[in-house]
Amino acid sequence: MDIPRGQIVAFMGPSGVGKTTVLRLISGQLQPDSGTIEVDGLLVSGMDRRQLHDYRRRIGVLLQNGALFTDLTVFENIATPVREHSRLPEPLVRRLVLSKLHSVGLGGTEDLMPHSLSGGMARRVALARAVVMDPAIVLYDEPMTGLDPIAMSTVRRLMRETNDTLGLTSVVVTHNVEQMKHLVDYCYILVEGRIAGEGPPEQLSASEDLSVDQFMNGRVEGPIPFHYLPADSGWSLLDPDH
Amino acid sequence: MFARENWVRAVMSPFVQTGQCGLFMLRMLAGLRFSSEQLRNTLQQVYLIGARSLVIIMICGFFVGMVLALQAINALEQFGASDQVSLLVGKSLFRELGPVLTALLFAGRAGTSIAAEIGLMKATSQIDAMELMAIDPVQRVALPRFLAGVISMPLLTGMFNAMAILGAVVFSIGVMEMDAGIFWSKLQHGVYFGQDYMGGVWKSLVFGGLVSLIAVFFGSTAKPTGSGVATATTNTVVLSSVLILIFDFIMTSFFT
Repeated sequence: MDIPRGQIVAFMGPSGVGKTTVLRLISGQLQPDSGTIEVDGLLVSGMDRRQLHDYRRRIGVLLQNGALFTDLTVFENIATPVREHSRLPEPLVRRLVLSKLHSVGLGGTEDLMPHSLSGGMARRVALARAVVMDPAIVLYDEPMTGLDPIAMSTVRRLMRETNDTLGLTSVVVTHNVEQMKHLVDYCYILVEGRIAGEGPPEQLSASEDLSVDQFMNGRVEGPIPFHYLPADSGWSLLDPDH
Repeated sequence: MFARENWVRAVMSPFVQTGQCGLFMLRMLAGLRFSSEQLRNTLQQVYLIGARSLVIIMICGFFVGMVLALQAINALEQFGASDQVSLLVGKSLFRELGPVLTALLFAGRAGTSIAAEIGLMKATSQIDAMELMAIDPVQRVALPRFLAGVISMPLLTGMFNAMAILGAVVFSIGVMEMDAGIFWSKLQHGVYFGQDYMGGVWKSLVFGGLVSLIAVFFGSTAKPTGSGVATATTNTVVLSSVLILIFDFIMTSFFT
């Protein structure tokens, strides 16, 4: 797989296929059994703790639920990576955090606690935190899950604007086909541990590959099975101990 | 064959966990920087786990002092020595009961809170988020809580002792109408600062480190599920309580 600089690339596929695993491989949380992960000329697979630390300062990650620090205010959440990795004076930290907060449309929420935010607002705060250090790459893990349609569109627009304005490269892991059709430049469809299809979303919607067609168009019937075990596994409801 | 493997694993597990806990502590202490950020985090935790434990510690201390005085007066009256009550209460409090009971209360109040908080941070991916931001959760989350435990425990023990003495005063002088001058003079001349009081302070420092280390270790190694957090919390209280009593015996033997 290749992810071109400056693009938004999505990894899509049914639940449990290993989309988040790809993200964890890129972020260095997991090491591949075989193959290599290379980001901007750096070999991620095989990095030691110190190298990973330096590498992660150059990436931003938005996790599935936002993963905001629940004991810190919105301001402190966004300021945490800045204070940790820079020696900026406090007035400058404040200015930087507030400008990022304003860029995601949440100016004035800096003193709120995460529990008082809606799901969409929490995701936007997490996005501000992910890009506050001006990373080269932003990784999104299911950024739309659990959001209402308006919040989804807002987050989608912010992802596009952030990517283009800051000149980032974005990697999105999702199974939300409709939202991705309007957002991403390129898609990889993962099915049963393999790349079943790749290309721009509109091209994949018309794919002749049965797995890709089933996933992109949400069909029940197709090669992606409904049952956990294959039909020839021998398991039967009449004799489950077989 | 499998049964034997399980048996070996069960026997080895405490040793393996002790080793892991030791390495965890070394990793924490290796990150000691005395930076303003670390100081601020630690002071915040001193407030959260220390200052917020004050009420329970003070209430318990007061009643422990009262019950100690009651029992001491009952026992000493048989020998006509009930005027020695402040001496008995003071020595038993400063040397043993103060640090041990404060540590047990601290394990129940603050130890569980630390383990559950860190466990929940794991379950809600906050620890993952930290790692992905190149922030070491051991330095950012565990170390301030460990240091706060070590700092808070002697202070809480001091407050427990003070309230217990107050409880003993209320019961002995207020209820039993003992002579206040005798009470205070026996306490002043019979209880020694270096030997009795500081002995308890050293113990409380060790207990503070022990309870907070166990809490941050179990919290950090908890499975990121509801039952995983519950197990970490329970293990923190059980193991802390047992080790407090074992270490108390070891240190008492050593100091004596």
